[in-house]
Amino acid sequence: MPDDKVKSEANNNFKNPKLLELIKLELDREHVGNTKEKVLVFTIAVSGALTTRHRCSCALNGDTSEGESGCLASPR
Amino acid sequence: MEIHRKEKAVALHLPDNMFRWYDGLTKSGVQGDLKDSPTVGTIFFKELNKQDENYSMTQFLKSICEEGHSETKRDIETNNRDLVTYKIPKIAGIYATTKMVDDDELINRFIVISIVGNPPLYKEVNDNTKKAFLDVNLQIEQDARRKTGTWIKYGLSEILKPVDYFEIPHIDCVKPNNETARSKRDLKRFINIACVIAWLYQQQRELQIIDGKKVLVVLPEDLLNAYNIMSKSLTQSFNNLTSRDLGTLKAIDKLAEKQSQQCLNPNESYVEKRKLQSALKIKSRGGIWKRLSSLKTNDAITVISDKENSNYWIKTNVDVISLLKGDFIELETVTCLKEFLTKPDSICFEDKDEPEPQETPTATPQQTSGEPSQKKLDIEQPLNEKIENLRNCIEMHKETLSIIELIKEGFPLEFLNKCLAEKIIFEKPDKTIGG
Repeated sequence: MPDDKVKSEANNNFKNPKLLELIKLELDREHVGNTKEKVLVFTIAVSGALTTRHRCSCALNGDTSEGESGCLASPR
Repeated sequence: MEIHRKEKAVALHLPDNMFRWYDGLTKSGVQGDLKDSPTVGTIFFKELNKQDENYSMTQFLKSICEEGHSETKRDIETNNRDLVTYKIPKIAGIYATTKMVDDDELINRFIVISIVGNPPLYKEVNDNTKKAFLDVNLQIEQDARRKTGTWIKYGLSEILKPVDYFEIPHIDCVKPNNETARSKRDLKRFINIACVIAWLYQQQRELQIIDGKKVLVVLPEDLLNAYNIMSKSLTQSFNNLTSRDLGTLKAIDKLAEKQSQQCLNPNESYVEKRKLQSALKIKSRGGIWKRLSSLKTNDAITVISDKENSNYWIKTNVDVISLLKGDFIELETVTCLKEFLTKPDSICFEDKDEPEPQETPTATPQQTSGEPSQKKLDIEQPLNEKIENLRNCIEMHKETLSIIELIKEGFPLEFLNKCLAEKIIFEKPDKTIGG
């Protein structure tokens, strides 16, 4: 369960005009680099929360070890 | 069912009931899971290669990521006596791969995002890895954060509310590159990403209710932010070249230019493979051939062999400069959108070399008082009142107005189109509007 700090951070950040930059900074904590690509993958993943007509799909393509899988997720 | 969760990067920030991660894919497994989980709108799956997966699986994925999937088969629960129909709505599918499958239809259904590293980035990643092991508190903090969930995850599940429709009053500013059939698909993708961005910003907007449906207005800043984050990926996808390919072409072009300036190579614009390999800092012969073969497949280069000197000469077949500047939408789109911004401080990820707007918008009294320049009409405003306002606006202006100028005045495009259809207003031969 998220604590009060996380809740208040969320309430403030979703009202911040620089919301996309803040999302980028949060994504940076888990995966370094590929800024625009990472934010694009995030928005595509979030499109799943919208009605079906607005959903998009993507394929991350890169040479081995470039971080194409790490951009999505890696096991702990 | 316990969710197999991958605790990193993008997936970490999504609410549990919103996505699935499939390491192994079986059609019936995915079908059954998605049928039982109506809130799941996003799936992540492992590398998809045609040679590894069967044909029906590829078709199934194409289908669920394109328009949803419907299948009728015998129902096992009634001992195959009855028929049962499985329906899966359209899903946002995401996967990572080291090689793209040789299936144009499949690639067309996915936005291809090229992930390319470079030595400074590798250093940054390695420094980050070392930092985590230097201070154990960082690892403890990171694990705690993963357990409690991030502010993005909380916001997506608890703060943001579903929206039924999106309205884009400034959509006329968006000028797609109509030269290829792909532009139709890319335009929809661009609009969808702008809608996602508007949805994320919903706490800063007023949600309209029309006929009991929730409607969110997509502002020019959402379109511009969508352009900034996806322009590179869609342009590469549009040209069918990755950013690595473009980098190689750029290097060939640069070497050829240098040669012609120094008159080193009388043989037109061919460059030596050895020199190219050195310019790209590729150590292995396999590495350079891998890059060249990808470009050769796309007919972007010509390679001729010089058997006497055991060397190869390479020339580009494409106009590299225009390819690098090429875009899935016309650049004037950016200029137009910038004129209508209501909150310029919300623009993110702007390229430094992006062209500046050609004309500075004239300041209106509203702008000088620090208020947003866009006067947005209330969608719930009675229709007659809206029409009256539109007529007044047309009469008040000495110079006749175009559709774009009326949108600038705050009249939604959809409303103007309705008025044109109902012949409340009409378009003059010079494209201005009469009332």
